[in-house]
Amino acid sequence: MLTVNERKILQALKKLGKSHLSDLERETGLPRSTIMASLEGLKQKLAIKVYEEKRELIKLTKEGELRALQGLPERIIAEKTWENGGQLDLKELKEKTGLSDEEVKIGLGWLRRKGLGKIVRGKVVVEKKPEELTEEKLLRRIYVSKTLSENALSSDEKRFLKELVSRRLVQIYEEKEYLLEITDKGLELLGKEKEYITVITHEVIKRKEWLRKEIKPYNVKAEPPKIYPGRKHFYVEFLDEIREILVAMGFTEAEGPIVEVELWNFDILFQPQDHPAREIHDTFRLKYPAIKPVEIDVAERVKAVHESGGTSGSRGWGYKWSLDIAKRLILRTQTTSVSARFLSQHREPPVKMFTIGKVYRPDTIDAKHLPEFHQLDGIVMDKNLHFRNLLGILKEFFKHLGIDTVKFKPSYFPFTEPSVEGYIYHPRVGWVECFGAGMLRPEVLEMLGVKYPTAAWGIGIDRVAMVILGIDDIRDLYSQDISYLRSRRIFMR
Amino acid sequence: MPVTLIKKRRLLKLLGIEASDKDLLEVLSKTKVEAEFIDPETLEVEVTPDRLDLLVSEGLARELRGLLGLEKGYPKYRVSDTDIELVVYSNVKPVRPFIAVAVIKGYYVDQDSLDEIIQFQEKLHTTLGRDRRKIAIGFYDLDKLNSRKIIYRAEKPDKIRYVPLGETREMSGREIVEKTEKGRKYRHLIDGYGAYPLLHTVKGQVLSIPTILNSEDTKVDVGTKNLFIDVTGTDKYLVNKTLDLIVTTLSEVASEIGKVLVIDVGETYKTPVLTSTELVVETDYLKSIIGLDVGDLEIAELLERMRYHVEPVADGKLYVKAPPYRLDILHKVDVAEDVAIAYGYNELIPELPKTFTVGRELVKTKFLRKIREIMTGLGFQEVLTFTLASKKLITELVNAESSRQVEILNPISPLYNTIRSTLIANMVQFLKQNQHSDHPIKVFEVGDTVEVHNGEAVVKTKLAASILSYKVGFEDIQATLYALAKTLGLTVFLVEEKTPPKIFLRGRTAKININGKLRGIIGELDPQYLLEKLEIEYPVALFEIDISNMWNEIREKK
Repeated sequence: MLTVNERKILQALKKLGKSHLSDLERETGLPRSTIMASLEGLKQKLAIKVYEEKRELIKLTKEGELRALQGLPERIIAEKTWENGGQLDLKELKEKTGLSDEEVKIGLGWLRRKGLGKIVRGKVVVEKKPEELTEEKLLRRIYVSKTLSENALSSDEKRFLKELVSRRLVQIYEEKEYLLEITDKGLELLGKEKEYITVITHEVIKRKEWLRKEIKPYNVKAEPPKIYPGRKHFYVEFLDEIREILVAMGFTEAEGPIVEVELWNFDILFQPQDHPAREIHDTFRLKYPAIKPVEIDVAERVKAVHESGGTSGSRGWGYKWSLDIAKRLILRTQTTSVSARFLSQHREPPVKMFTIGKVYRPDTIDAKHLPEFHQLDGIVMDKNLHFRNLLGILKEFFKHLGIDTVKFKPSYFPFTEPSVEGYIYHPRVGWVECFGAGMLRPEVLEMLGVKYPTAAWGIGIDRVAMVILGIDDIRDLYSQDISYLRSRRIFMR
Repeated sequence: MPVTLIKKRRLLKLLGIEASDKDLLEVLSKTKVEAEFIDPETLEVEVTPDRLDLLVSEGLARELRGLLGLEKGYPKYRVSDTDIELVVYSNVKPVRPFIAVAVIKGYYVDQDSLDEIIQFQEKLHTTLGRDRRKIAIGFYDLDKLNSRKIIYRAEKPDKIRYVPLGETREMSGREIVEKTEKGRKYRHLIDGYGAYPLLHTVKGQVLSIPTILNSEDTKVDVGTKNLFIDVTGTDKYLVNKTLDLIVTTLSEVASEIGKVLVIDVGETYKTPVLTSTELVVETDYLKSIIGLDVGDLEIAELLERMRYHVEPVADGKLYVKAPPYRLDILHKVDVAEDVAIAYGYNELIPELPKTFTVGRELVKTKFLRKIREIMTGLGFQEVLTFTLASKKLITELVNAESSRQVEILNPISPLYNTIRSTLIANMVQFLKQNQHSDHPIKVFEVGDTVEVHNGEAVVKTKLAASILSYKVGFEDIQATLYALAKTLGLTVFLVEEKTPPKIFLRGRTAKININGKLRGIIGELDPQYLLEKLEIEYPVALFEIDISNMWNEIREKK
């Protein structure tokens, strides 16, 4: 039985008779590599005969290509002389024609030999208007088709080929070429094959062709061509699951600016202005734009609380607070800035908010660190809310992600008290530290103008995703390799 | 966070009990330290910056003994006056104004404790001291001092002469800041006043140039029995509290803290001051923060385990006194945390709040999800690229004016010196990297970018989509754009772009007008640019549109 390509080739051979591969390419529309791949099968089926033929082909040299584009020097000289009134001083020749000394020399030789003009007392004399030369036309023809068979030349052209070869503008070289011919056996196979329908088309159905021909069966075990579905990025898919859990738990989503003033990223979170985390080793600062005005009322409360505790009942940090530092622009180092902004706009209970966003730290890139990553932040504010409620929310959240074991540990953040950090347990990787949380400090609530207990948490959601999605190198989470993205299986919880 | 190394044998000796490694780690995990064994004998301990007293075995053991119930209440310290005097000259005030000194008697230094106090000093320098700027600490062997009268004053660098710690010859003050490692690192703290702070005895024996380097002559070594300590700095409160922290912690294993008389210009006082933080707190307040339902007696007991002195003063009120090493008590809420720590975080039963609320996603989130659904339906794979980007590359690729892009002051690399103002640059990089994967490569990205408008950084949400394949053209990407717009219910038309950015092909690039507003660019990429600049060997067609706030434009009107 013939394959589709074998059949195409045989049909073409039947139509064309003895053919070269290039003829077959044209006729079948198949690339040469595909035809070559089919030849072995056809030979085995004794459907074709293959002859090896040596052909003389001609092609241009580098110089030949240049002359094909610019013309031959003898004609250029003749033309320039004609344009100059039929006479041109030999000394002016180089300048007028733009040819090199060598080219002028060669050009003058051929000018005389071809009778295009003559040299009289140091001057070129041309008596009739020069036309484009046949040899120039030939050069152009070879240029366009890259190679030509000698057989394809007219007898007129053949006369000039010698000249062009001697001038080293054209090269003749030998090439092995296959010549193919269909055999009787091939014709027979082709005839038999006619009984098969390979593709069921509109015509086949309409004309009930299956009544006259058999439908060719497929090799169902063969691999199909590869196709890829359009897909969401697997991490985006994961983050959507996170959103679903939090919305189901009654949280409202919020967002805030990536480029943030220090006031909302640090000061409002009771981070003293000389805190090491605010230095350039830990925070990307902006050179342009460098500052942004801040809310005056908030700044005043922040100043009072930092310097002496304001009316929060705290001692404060006891230093001189600077508005200039608070106005500096940075890339946010935490999404807690979003929570803070949200709280300052929603001061009445109950409030349950979450935000997922990019945060930035000047870390060098390795398997565990990227200078930008995602953080998930959340807050709950309500009358009578307490620390155990915060632990309850965190535990519940992880439960929905399939993580039942969560461990809490005392910790420290400038903006929460009590503060807690947490570890989740996964059989593949063991304990993984992945969140920090706490009740917002009275100092922070005072700066925000909030009067009720508020729980806040921040989760390194990239780390959680890595644990759950089975990824050990954070760079894979942001993989720039499409075959990796295409190969990831979907995430089902 | 600061990290120190602690010898297990020393910690257990101070703790006074036997404990398996597992039990030791378990009880440590209830405190504010993260500890792990780096070898069978050594613990690596990471301490939160509010509890620097836990940086040494003395402090850790004190905390653990409380938590384990081995010892309760305010730690007892034997304090006595000494015959040592410190005279502070007024000329040191502009250079480094504040100093506090103390003596610890009966502190027997061996190799383990020497290693620990050196680390302790260094970690306090970097944290509380903000790298010695706010405070700097010096330890000396009291018995090596040749006089009981000590002077703190400023002196011209050339007139200072002593053998600095770790050196073998006498050096001048100038040599010390120029030739020693510490000198070079910290001279900026004392340069510019014409004189350096100097601590020496009346008999001319130099103890140190505070903030820089001690003398070899007075150094603490194995065998030292009595310590003299100085803390200098720019913040008087912190200078005193740091000294309190050091002496009350180290004296856990010493016999006595010695006070020194300080004659500070016109004023006379004694240091260390050993102040404790005193508060009156309502037990209901403490319980309400944690959500703990226990009796007042138990609250008092828990606080005693955290080494507070506790006295009931009235119904439901407690007078509490936190020991001098607790620098972190700013507010009564800090006392509440200690109740929770003593109770045990993992003993607290997590409880969901009863608050009923209806959750909701951002409209933007929902809109972006719809965009993703349409684009994936059209066969495109979503990609996520970095938002940090190269200003130069963006400028080159899409003619973005430099003034439209933010600039980072301290980038980790020039490749990441801005936040992208377009998705195109990253997308083209992605295509370059993946051009030899299975074709067609149809990808899209939707995400935030930042543009500068009138000197202000503004977030713009954008969508970019592109196709790379053996054969692809304008129509292919145009069809995608039109299908997207139609599905979103938007009207789109294209306006010829006569001067497209270099990356695009003239005559095959257009501006995108959506609902009457110019919102993006669409086109084929220039073949020469593709091959020579981007090294992409296949045709690419792409578009990018600004979809900021589009979610509100297309919402159903009520």
